[in-house]
Amino acid sequence: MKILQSRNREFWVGFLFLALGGLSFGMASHYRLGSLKSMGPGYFPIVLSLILLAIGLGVVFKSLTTEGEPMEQIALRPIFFIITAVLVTGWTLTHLGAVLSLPLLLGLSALADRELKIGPAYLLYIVAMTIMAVLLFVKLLGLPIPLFGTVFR
Amino acid sequence: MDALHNLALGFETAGTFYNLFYCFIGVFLGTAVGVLPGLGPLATISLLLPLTFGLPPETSLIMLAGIYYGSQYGGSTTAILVNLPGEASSVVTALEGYKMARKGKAGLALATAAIASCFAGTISTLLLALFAPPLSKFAMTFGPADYFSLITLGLICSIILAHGSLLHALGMIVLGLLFGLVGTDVTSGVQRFTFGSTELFEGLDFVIVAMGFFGIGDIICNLEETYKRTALKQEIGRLVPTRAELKQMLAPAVRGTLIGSVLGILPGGGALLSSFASYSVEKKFSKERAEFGTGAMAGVAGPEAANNAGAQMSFVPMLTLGLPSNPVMALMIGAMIIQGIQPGPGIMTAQPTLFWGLIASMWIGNVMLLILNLPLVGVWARLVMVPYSYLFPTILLFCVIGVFSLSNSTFDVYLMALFGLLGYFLHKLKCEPAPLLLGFILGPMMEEYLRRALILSDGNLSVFFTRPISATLLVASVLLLISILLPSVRKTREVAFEDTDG
Repeated sequence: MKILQSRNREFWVGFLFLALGGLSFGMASHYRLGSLKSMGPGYFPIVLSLILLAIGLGVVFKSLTTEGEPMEQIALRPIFFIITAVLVTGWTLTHLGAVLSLPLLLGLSALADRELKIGPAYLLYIVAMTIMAVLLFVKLLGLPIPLFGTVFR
Repeated sequence: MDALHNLALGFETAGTFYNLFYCFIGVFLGTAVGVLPGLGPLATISLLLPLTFGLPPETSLIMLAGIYYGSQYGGSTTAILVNLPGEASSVVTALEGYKMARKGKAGLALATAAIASCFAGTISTLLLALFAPPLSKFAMTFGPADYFSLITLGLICSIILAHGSLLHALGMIVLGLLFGLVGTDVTSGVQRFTFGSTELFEGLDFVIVAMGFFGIGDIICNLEETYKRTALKQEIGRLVPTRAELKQMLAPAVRGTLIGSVLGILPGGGALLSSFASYSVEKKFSKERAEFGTGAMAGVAGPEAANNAGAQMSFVPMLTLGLPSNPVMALMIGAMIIQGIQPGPGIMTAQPTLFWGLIASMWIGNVMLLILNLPLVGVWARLVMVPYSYLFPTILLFCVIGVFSLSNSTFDVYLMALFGLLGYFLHKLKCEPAPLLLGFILGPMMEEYLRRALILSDGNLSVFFTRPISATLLVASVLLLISILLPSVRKTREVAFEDTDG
């Protein structure tokens, strides 16, 4: 299993194309195909999926026959905290409201950065940024973002 | 003179105090955000898009156009001062501009960029006013088959600009086309690729995908590359160029404007292609060619002019055909649709004030950029130094609020996180997002035109080759594809990107 050992980047690109092409082919095959004269909802997606699968096969073939570059390291810490911060804010924005949710976002995302020390300066930034965002987006622009969420009602 | 009459109407619209004010705000905010390292025009426009939601259609488009020019200029500023191009089209500016800055001529480089941009903006506004009406008339003769072939050509063009392998770029286009099909099929009403979720019935919003890729995805990438964050303190030096220097930048600026105006009109063209082309031309033909690599002024003036002319001319296919030639224009179309405007050949006659107001505002925006930027250089230089640790949480906040307020939906925020994750992994796999985004926005149109063309031709595929416009476009696409595969072109392309990667 040379492929998996060398963690060839090219191979994973092909793998991604094959997986997504396969998925879309599987889903699109449930839609009516129709004919060239009157294309059903399935026609275009099926053709696209087949093209994607073909490209995927081409890339995988290339990765097996040529010496590719290895995959780079995946940075787990930023991925985890940035994605978590976005998901948590998404949920709390309506439930807790902007006044609590935005500081949560700024605090959680800071954990993604190894070099950032959360001290008084950063806390001040969180407070200032939250006030600015509320004033700009909610007061000035009138975007319908709740200041206090459903929990407080 | 019809063009003059139309321009007068445009200036009347754009010249109201209200519109001038928002044009100014757009240019100012666009520059301020565009200056921040790592934020290119696409990210800047996505982040600032919510600010335009409450405005009337003309005003919001004028402001968005201002944001676009501002962000491009801001990107050049960052490129010159700290060699951190926010996006690909200012990569070229960094090549010579940063070298000039190292020699203590940062101020001169910034002034060159601003003057060349303004010059190009003025010329291309005039060209736009002259050529948009006949092009729009020509576009009226386009049938569905022609549109389909034009979209194909545009997608193939986007490959030239993508790093790395041809197969990767092709795969990304097809993937983008498939993402574009998510939602209700307009003809049959069937829900496609929605996984049964009602939130996806209306399809994926372009803003969500763009913010996921360029907001969230980029943040994760930047956080692992710590070296990017060390910024140098730079002496700005003299700002105002001498008469001799002005004369020196004229020829490159004229050449750049011409290159940008021609390439900007092409589908898949625009700012990026233009600045690359201009840089190679100047490197070969400029009087200063011996100085290239050590901070040649022609290497700033030419690409900056081309960049701006290309950006402006890329509005032509967007406004006259309703086809975006690059992701930024796709975003503009998205913004127009939010405002209830459908771009296409009819827009010039249906909404002349909007159309000509937008064009006039381009010139106004360019002049404002010049007036605004020279005195504010010090402020921008300080903004460049904002530490990333404080910058990225702020960007994140803008992304979340922007996406949430698209339709007050928490689901959209989750979706953005998903695309951020995808964007990060695609970056790791060295797959460029631009072809995907273009495919994404063109996917539904491509299917619709294919369908209509085949209904009209009774299912006969030869229609794409018997119509002269369509046949020409398809032949051009094939030639382009072959030329990318030719070893000599392939090599140049690799070298061009290597040059700029350093």
